[in-house]
Amino acid sequence: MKILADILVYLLVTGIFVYSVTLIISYIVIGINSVNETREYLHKNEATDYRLLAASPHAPTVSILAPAYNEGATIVDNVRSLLSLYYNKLELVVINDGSKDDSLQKLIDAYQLEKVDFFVNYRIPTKEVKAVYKTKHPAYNKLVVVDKVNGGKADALNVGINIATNDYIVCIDADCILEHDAILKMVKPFLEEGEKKVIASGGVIRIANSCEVTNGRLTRVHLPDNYWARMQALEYIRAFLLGRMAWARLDGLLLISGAFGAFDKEIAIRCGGYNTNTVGEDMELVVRMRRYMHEQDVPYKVTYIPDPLCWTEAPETGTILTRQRNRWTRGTIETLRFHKKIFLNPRYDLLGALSYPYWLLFEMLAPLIEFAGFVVFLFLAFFGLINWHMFFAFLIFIVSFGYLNSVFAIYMEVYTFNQYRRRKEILKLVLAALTEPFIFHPFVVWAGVRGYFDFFRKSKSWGEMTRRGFGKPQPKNG
Amino acid sequence: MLEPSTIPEATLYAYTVLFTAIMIIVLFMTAAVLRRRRKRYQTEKRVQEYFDQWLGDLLLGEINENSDIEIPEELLDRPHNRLAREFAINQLINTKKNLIGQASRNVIQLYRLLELRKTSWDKFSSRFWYRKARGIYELYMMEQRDAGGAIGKHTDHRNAYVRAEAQTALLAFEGFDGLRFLGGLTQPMNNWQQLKLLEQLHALDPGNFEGLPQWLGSANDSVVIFALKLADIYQQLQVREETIRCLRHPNSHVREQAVKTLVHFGDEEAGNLLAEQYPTETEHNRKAILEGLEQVATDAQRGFLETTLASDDPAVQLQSARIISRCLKGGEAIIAAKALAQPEPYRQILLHIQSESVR
Repeated sequence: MKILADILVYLLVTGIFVYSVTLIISYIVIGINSVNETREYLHKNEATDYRLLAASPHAPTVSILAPAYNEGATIVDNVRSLLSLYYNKLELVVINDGSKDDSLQKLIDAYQLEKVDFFVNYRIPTKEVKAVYKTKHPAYNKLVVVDKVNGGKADALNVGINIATNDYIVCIDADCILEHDAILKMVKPFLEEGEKKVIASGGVIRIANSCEVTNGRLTRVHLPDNYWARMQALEYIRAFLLGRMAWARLDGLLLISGAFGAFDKEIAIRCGGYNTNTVGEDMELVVRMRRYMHEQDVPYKVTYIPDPLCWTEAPETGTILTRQRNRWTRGTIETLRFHKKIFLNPRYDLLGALSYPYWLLFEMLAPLIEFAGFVVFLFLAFFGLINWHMFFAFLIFIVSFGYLNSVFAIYMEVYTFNQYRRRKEILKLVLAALTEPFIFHPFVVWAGVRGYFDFFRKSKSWGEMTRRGFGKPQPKNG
Repeated sequence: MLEPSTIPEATLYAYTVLFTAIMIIVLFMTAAVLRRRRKRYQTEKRVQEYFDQWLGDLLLGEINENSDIEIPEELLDRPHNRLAREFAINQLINTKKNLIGQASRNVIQLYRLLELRKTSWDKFSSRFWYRKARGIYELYMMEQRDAGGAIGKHTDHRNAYVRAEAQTALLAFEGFDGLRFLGGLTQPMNNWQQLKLLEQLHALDPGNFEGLPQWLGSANDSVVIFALKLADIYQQLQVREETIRCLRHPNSHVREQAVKTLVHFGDEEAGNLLAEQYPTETEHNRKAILEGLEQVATDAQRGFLETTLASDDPAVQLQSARIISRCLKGGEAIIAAKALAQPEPYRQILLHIQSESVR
């Protein structure tokens, strides 16, 4: 019995150790690739005059799809902000996903909308479209508002794809703030395609909490005052500036955030649009599109833009953050489960050999493995089996590596886009990084573990994501 | 086997010290970058003050080739003035973009007087692609035509950014005559580059298209596509036959552009040609054909359009109905009759078309 227990402990300890070593090596590879990709991007676009694209008759046509559910408080301002984006050949499709509030009426009143007869081509099956609205007002002629039966975000986006008349779709969250040149920058990679067809392009999402917003425009960037939001600001810098840029370079990107991503509409339709049976519809679509292109044997790529183009409000309380991370974990599990065929399948090249295994081991399984590691640690400590000298040596080793990774991400941010300009803000970001392994990270791991529980309980809930709204005062007990 | 006990404790501490040391270095680098940014901001602010003064002089014509302006110390060609000189070049380029005529020429004079051409030329001579591309950009933005010969050698450069800038430069210096580089181009031109070149030509009077038939027969598909775009925009009807031949091109992107060009030529035969092309095309190109027919269809395509109207694809049905309604005599009555005979989906299609026509 003791031998069996020894073997089990040995396997667990060694397994977690090998896992950690692989993760550290992955982070180093990601860091190197991110630096190269970002540097190349900056060099390539140093002298780019995006104004050429804004008004050119040769620019591709773009439809922005903005699903909205109970966004009555901000919808009119958000739509106004989207209508003012620099891009001539633009259509804005706002999909009211059966809101229970007065979102639709507010849009009708604000933009003088009229119900029009519209033949909806249900190329992607969706819930019923109740009505389509347009306006004769010349200032708003890019706007199309669709009212539909509630079916969730994925279903609303699919309706948007069916309605959109343009070649490229840009899917966004209606409550995000886009930079005025966001569409220009997102479209350029599609124009630059060579032998490989560009099927999708992702953009960086930044945290807008505590930033100054005037008339739907971000006027001044600040580091969030709230601890949870600040930690997410750091986390997003690390994930977007390091992680996704590196994966884009390796051509293994599996996720384009649902808050801001551009897609080739034809390919998205051929793939069947967004999957309504997952809460991770953004990642699922990218994986399915990639898989489709592999199966069709068509050379393709998914690109990524490091410029801060889209700003979103991050959860400011533990409860809402838990719901969000719980959903992200379920979305990842569902997506990887749907596409398990890719795993180590040589037919899918790097996608099967590297991207999928990485996501499986270091994104999907991470909360479970870390949690298991902690349980094993408690067990060993309880039975006095810990060599405390070694334990502390490992602990400070891994914590110092984590700090190095965060500090490097902060350096990359300062070196490239430098959104937080005051030295005090950078210092606060560094201090936040120091607390991460002891406060934020365990919290996120626990939210991920709860995501597993909910996944096995077959929960499909999004979890209510209460938002404070831009430019609103922070609650005292937030 | 890699396992925790195989790693000596001292090694772990050594790595921890290494990580911490690197972290401290990175923190210092971050502070240095912040400081450099602040310094750059202050330098730029100072240089901007000179520019504010010069801009007024430029507009009043007080800076010209005979001017003898005093170059401020921090804009002299010294290694420690690199940032200020870079800023000065950027400012001149941005100023020139917003000016025309004599004021624009005065900007170029100021560029020469500040001896910034040498900085641009150094970049152009660099072995790094991004510096070379940037140097070309600066030289053509500042209309340094004498650099045209050297820059022209790079129009087929292996790096896409260098050749893109070199091609743009050639057009900036020589206008339509600069298009001759298309004849020898072996590397591809992406859509961004094509758009950039078309915008560059947009401001000029249409010029020499003698090479067009040759470019339309190029082995480089992107050259053919670009030539088709030129024929389309500048209505070069003399290459109509070559354009029709492009409908048989093996590359579907070439055929797509040929369809668009023929539509814009807008002759009587275009409708028939497109209708004949339709059955042999890819799904994507069929869509382009139907979109094109909206502009050129006549009653001669009635049979074809009635067939596509009866297609199984709702998108094809809708587009066909749109063409019939807009281009054929009694078109709306045809759709109405179809809607009566088969209400689903044609009734809704009819309403959609009617709704579009009143907007």
